[in-house]
Amino acid sequence: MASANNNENSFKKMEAFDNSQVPQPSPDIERNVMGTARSVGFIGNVIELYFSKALGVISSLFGGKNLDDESDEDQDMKEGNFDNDNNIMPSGRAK
Amino acid sequence: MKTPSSFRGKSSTSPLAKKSDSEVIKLYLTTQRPDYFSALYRRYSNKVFSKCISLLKDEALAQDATQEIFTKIFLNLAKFSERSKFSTWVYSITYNYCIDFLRKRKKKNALFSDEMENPPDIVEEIPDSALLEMEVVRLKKVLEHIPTGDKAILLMKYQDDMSIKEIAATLDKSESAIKMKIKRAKHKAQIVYRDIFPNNLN
Repeated sequence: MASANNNENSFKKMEAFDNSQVPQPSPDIERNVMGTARSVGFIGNVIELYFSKALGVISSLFGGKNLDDESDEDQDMKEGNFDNDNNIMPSGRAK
Repeated sequence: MKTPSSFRGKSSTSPLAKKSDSEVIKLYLTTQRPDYFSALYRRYSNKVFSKCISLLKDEALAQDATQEIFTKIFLNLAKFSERSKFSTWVYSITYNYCIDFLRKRKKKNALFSDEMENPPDIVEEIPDSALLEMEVVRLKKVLEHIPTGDKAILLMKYQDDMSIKEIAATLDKSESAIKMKIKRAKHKAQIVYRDIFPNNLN
């Protein structure tokens, strides 16, 4: 009995026959699909570059803190400059 | 004018021609350069188009379907998990698109034998060899006369070597439902074969 994976089964022969007979898909299809690809890529880049900034602006308008504006306190936190009472050192850093 | 497939596409000397599908996909996802996606398009567009013509039986519809299918592939490429071959993923999108399209279009007509009003309860088991060793011209004729869903499921199994699990995932059915659909599709094909070629029983 023939196996379903047999490369010479009638279905595969039919596929080869059909592929040689059907006309080529219109070149417009590739152009349109690639057009979509470019547009989506462009929109993705715009979102990546500007969306986070726009969100920051909106949040700062509503009184939130813009994450891009790093304060001296944040810098002290990052660098581990604490005084003995666990207070963040005033800027100028070392006591 | 019809062009033989062997003469189609760009030169195979392109450096991309030697790369596997998953390598090209990785390159595309990391660089977002459209020519990588274009390479994937060139590899599969003829086969997808041919399947669309075979299922939709209309060249203009098949052109639109091919465009929609490749747009879907492009938009979902990042979700492709490599659990199956890329070709299997592409074909499952193709079959799903065509089946959904036909379902919307022919609401009253059943797409699969087991969706017909009175499907037979007990279906005789047809050996695979009855279909796999059939003459190509006869097989084409038989497939033209069975419900499109039955045709699609037989193509998935015997032409594209999709596993029962993959077909089940494609059609969103259980594996046992798919086994039954295949059984019924083979049975239907056998009945049609006997009707069309009554003097040449396999």
